[in-house]
Amino acid sequence: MTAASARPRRPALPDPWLLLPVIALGLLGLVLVQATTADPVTLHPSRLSAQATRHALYLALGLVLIVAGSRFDYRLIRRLAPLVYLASLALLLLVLAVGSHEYGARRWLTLGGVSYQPSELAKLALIFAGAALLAGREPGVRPLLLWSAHMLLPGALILLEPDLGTTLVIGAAWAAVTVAWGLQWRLLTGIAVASIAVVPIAFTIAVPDYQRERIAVFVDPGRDPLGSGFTLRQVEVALGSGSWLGNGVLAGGGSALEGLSTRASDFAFAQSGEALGFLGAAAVIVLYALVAWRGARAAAVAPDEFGRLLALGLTATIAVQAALHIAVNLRLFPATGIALPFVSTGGSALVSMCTAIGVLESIAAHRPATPREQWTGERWR
Amino acid sequence: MTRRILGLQVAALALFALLAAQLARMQLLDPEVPPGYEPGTEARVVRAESPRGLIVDRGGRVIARNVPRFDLVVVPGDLPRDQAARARALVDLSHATGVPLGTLAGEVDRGLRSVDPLAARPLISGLSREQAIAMRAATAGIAGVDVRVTPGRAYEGGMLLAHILGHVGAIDEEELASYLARGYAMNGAVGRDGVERIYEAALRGEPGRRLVLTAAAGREIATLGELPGRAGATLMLSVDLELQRATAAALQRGIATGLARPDQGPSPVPAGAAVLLDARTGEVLALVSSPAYDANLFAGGGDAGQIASALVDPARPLVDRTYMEAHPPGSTFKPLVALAALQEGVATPQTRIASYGALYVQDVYNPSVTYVFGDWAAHGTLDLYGGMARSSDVYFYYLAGGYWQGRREVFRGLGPDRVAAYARSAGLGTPTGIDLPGEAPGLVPDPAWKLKATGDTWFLGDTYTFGIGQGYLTTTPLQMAVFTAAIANGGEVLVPRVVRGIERDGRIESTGRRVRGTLPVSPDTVRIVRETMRASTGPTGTASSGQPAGMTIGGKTGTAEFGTPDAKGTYPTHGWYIGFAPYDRPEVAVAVYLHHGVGAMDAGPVAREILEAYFGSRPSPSARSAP
Repeated sequence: MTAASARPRRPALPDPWLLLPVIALGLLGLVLVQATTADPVTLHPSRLSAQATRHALYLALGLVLIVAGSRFDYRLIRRLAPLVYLASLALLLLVLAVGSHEYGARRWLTLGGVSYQPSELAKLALIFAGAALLAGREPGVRPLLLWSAHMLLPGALILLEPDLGTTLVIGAAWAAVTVAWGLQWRLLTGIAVASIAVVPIAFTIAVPDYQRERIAVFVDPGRDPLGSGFTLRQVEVALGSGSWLGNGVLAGGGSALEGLSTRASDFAFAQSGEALGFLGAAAVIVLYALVAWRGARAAAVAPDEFGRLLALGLTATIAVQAALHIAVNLRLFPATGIALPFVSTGGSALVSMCTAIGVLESIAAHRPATPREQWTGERWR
Repeated sequence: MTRRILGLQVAALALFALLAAQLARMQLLDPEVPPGYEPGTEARVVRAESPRGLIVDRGGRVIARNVPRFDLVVVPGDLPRDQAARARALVDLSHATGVPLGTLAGEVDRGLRSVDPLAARPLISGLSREQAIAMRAATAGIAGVDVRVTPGRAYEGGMLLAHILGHVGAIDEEELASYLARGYAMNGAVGRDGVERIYEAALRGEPGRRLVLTAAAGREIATLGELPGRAGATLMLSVDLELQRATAAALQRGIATGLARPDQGPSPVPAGAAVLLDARTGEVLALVSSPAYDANLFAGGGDAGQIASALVDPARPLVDRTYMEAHPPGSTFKPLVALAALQEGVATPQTRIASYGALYVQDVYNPSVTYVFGDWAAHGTLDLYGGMARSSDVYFYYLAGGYWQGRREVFRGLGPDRVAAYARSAGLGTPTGIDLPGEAPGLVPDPAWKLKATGDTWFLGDTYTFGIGQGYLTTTPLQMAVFTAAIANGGEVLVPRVVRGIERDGRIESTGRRVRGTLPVSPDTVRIVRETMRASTGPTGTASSGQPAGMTIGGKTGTAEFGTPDAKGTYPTHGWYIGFAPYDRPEVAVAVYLHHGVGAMDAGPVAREILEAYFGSRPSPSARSAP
């Protein structure tokens, strides 16, 4: 499985199959941002726009974080987890108090021109806390309740922003960690039944009106033909016009997504489908599947339970967020503003996601040696 | 536990496989792409203004309607980008349209340099329908030119309603931002002046929006969604076109006789105004200002020469003299002084004052100087009825300013502040609030105002001239009509309005009767003043010329000096008349103002003709009960 194992030298990274999709997706994001923001008149298409430059810088920072993360002992996280978790809660409270509004939600903390999205840290912090909490504990009701409380606290704060998409992502990651922890089937079934029972109640209490309207439009796009129904229609046209090979990027001329202010973030996948066609967009899906597969692989071979839960939780976070974004773009899920990992614009998200990959690399580095490695003496540390 | 991880792995792969399948469905198997779609196609929201509301008169006659206007336009941004190709296209265009190449190239150049090269620029405005069809055929297949149909407005009634209606035109530069914020297009049309402006929101309705896919050249490929607009509401004027016509004709005769009076100055202006109000509701039944202009003059396609001459005409036809200009009301102000004097106890109906043709006042600083305040005749001794009926100036000098013999006050008058307070309570000195733009407030003077405005103190003489409606006091004919209506209806100062109702979706919303205030006088006081105004229209009264045959009304004349005196010291005069009818159960209030003329001889007959037209076409309750 390990590509680098064929070479006698120590590989540059424990698992390059985690890094390569990130590079590919990050570059795709860069191209899409450039295509969206480059001014065809005053700027040469090859000159990076301000937004594209920023994306490139964050991407470079992310890659540094991945490489740095792989050389770092992930077990340190176990000691840092409570601190990181509390810090993330504090930031979530702060954003509700003084965060800046955008599209009707308080999601950003702005300081000196740089804005930061605390929910991105919260995603990581929850997984850190969960792995630290559950590792070494027998699956049971008491730790389960504690673990649930750990998820519900940031979940509720994020839902208040409101940011339903991120809430769903951390909920799904929580469930994945719970399953991987080894919780008894009867308890898992209980949770599933309880969730199904709670959804309608949660819908009436916690789902804001705008989200409800989006769900209504999802069911019946004709309901608001020039508003959010318009967006869905545009997304369909964009994807449909992409066909096999796409309309190309930087080809000049308009896109069906023109005028969608969130095109480079919430509709990055549709944009990829329009520009690169089915082949390109399917490749994007394959890249996420690869990340999911390799991340879960790191979990499976992790040397300890903490590493296993950590790897699985982080992988689930990335995979679920990607799948949710794609599902929204493919009209399989009601519109909720959620970024496509590594591709969408947004510095905090890119940094968080790359940190997660870095941690996964670190866990992969600490796996027990395979027999062949023992034989060649090739090992990390 | 690795089995569970494997399970999650498989679940994740299944999820991504499902997404890939849906992707294939949307991109390959069942793409939702409209026919004719090509890369470069973009979705645009196109706004379409809804048809503007009609304006009808009181009788339901359509006064303002929508007509298509055809313009030949060029869209510089749709022409070829390449210089040489564009030059060739322009030559073709010039051949096809007959527009000189120089004009065409200049317009395109300006367009390309402007903020929005895609904005259509007119080449020929106001094509006839036949020309438009011919031009469309000639330019078919040439990119960048188009015959645009824009909604225009056509007005009935010629000169009769122009001031009330206003017109529809391009948005003013300084108002552009506020209209853009309300969703108007940069080159949109809005109501300018008159009710077209005041009721713009109702007349406009709500524009429809369409989401369309357009190809690179601006061609619409498909409509993705549509939100229908709401058509503009129909305005029903309270003005009756026929009554307006009769009023205009009467006013014209009054202006003619007034101009023929001697001593009207070197270059008299043939101007006047007349207002007929429903004294019960404040609805304006007729509102005529002369000279007027044709309502269609500014409605697009108007003759440039005519527009220019209307703008520079010294008689200023664009000004609506019923409410945009204020002039001294002369003796038509006397009923107000009478109201104040009765209410304040300065006078009773029996107060007798002698007029020997003038009042003499010694200068406060220099007793050797004596000022003379003349009356128009030596009336002898009169009570309030006689004073009003004969319009004795001396009588009202007394009421307003009192009278001193030396240092002894033999008659205590109201004083300027009380006269001013009553005048303001009648709505003078402030706009009436009519639903038309640009109303003049007029001026009610008082000592404080005079000190501030001129730096001079207020003299007794100022009070005297104030008491007979001269000096600094100015009112609009509309204000006088509202005041007259207040006397007629028992003291309610109504807000006049020219729009009676707004018809939305088949329902008529009345604009409603609005009361600004109430005269601070007792019912008895109003009754007495009404009686004095009836006395004025009696056989010995000055206001009898305003009374239609066989009807009793209340009336008052006014003849106000203005301008500069001639060599003999005679001033030109404004002629005024106010009245209400029928006397017993007043329905209407009338106010006539002639820029030149005498109240009794010139303005009175105008009022009579207006009242005759009103009661002739619309029998009053009392007239109907008569056999």
